[in-house]
Amino acid sequence: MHEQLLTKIALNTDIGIIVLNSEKTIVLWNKWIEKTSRRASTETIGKSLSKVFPETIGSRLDQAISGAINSGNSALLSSAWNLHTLPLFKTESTDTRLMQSLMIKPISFDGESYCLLEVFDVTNSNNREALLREKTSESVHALNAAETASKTKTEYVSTVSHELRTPLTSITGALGLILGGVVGEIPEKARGLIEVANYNTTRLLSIINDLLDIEKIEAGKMEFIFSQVDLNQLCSQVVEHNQNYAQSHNVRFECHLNKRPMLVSADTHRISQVLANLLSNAAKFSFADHAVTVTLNEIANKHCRVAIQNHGNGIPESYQETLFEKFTQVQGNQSASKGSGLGLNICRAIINKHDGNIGFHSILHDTTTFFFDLKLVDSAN
Amino acid sequence: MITLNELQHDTLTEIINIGMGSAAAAMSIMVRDEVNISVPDISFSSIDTIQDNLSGLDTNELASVRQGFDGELMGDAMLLFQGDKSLEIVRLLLSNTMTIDNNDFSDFEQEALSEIGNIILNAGLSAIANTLKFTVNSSLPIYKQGNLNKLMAPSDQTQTVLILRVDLSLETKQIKGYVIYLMDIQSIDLLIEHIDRYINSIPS
Repeated sequence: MHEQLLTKIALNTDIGIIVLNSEKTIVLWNKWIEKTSRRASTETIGKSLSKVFPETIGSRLDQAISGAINSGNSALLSSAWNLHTLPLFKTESTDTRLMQSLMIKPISFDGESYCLLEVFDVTNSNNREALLREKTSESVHALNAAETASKTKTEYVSTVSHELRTPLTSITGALGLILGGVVGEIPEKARGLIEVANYNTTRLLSIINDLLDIEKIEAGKMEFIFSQVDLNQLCSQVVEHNQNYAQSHNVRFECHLNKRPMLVSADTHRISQVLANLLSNAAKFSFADHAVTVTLNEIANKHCRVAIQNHGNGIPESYQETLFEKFTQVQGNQSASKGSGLGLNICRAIINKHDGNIGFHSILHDTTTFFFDLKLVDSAN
Repeated sequence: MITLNELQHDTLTEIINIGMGSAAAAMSIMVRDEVNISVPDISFSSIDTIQDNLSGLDTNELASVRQGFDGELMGDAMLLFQGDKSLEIVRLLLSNTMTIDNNDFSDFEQEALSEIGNIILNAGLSAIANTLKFTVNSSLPIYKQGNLNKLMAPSDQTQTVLILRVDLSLETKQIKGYVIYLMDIQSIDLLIEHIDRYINSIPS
């Protein structure tokens, strides 16, 4: 009874089962194999496997069956190399061959050696994997193409920027000299036009410098020369140099320095660049006739905070998350003067190189404060 | 620790090399390219010192194919490769440069490596069984990856290990791996007894 039940299970199970005796003669041929091979067990039992499937003669399957019967070896024929070992079909009506994995196991029963073949349909999983492989391959190619295009574009922008900077510097210099009266008195009508030309060439130069800086940062080529710097002194110098800019936007810069020296290890040129950028943003986006204040305070963990505050429309919440990303610019602001959209990204890269922290908080139509924190160094060091 | 005398050592190395020759021939047909497998060295170790005997392998990142065997000799056979090297073998053999994940094996690749392991491990076992007149049945291969501790079963702790260094060469690549047989002391004693019997049976 028990034996009959086991035979029934083997016959009805949803994998292919073939059992061969030591002569490689078929002794069991289950229903799954009947269906996929389109051969009834009555046609196959008692015949040798090679007679039913002549294509298996001398094949790896044949060797594996011999290994199981003669040496007791179990073997696996994966679909990697043996996709269609047996001529089995996916459905009764089509000629699509079934992709398969086979397991070959030795069985000893009543002193006789048998070989159990288990056949698994891997058509669906192989097709899915092939599709996934194809998609992965496509995305890798797309990624490579995008990286190459991006690299080419960066190189192009860099080359063009370098080429533009040289003549632009000459133009800015020449316009500056004209406005300074080197070639004599300028007629009033011409002065206005030259001032516009000078303002815009300076702006263009600043955008080009930003582009070159971003390229250097991304290539890891921006060099930093660190020295011990008193931020009080540096802030006051940068504020002083930018007072004209404040005036052009009808605001004033006020510096609230700290009474104690605020010594940090920093690249003077690059921190000046950050300060100038934050000051110019504060001036550009400030209500007219207000003060932009710069304050220096010692904060927790022996850090110093430089904060630049203005009064203006503030930064809408929708821009806050991406404000330090490249090319982010707050739209609809009252300021007509637009920059490269790279300034804050450059500032963040510079402050990160100083192991510092940069951020802001903004109240709409009230105050906006940008700050950066740098680690204080002991003056004894 | 178990040691073999020079004659026993050379005999066992030779038997296993004959087995690996047939594994290489089978693989060469599979991949339609020349595959060479040689076993330049064999040694015994206890499970505690196995790590010291797997020189050239980082035992934190291994890929293994393991299959049990029983009969007169009982134990487990394992093929060990460096994790990333085994991916390389599968890619070379399948002539497949594109894998779904660079750090992990897909089911397809796991099955492919299991088959390679199965061929190599069965070849070694069959050579020992047929030449030294043992009956040994092997089970199906199981693929596993991870560090050496993860690959070992708790029951392995009492086993003695026969370690074979395996050099696999494909195209221009040389890949180093190990086959280890984990057996209890009775099986090892029986193996040595059969080696001696085989040596004595050879006409001088």
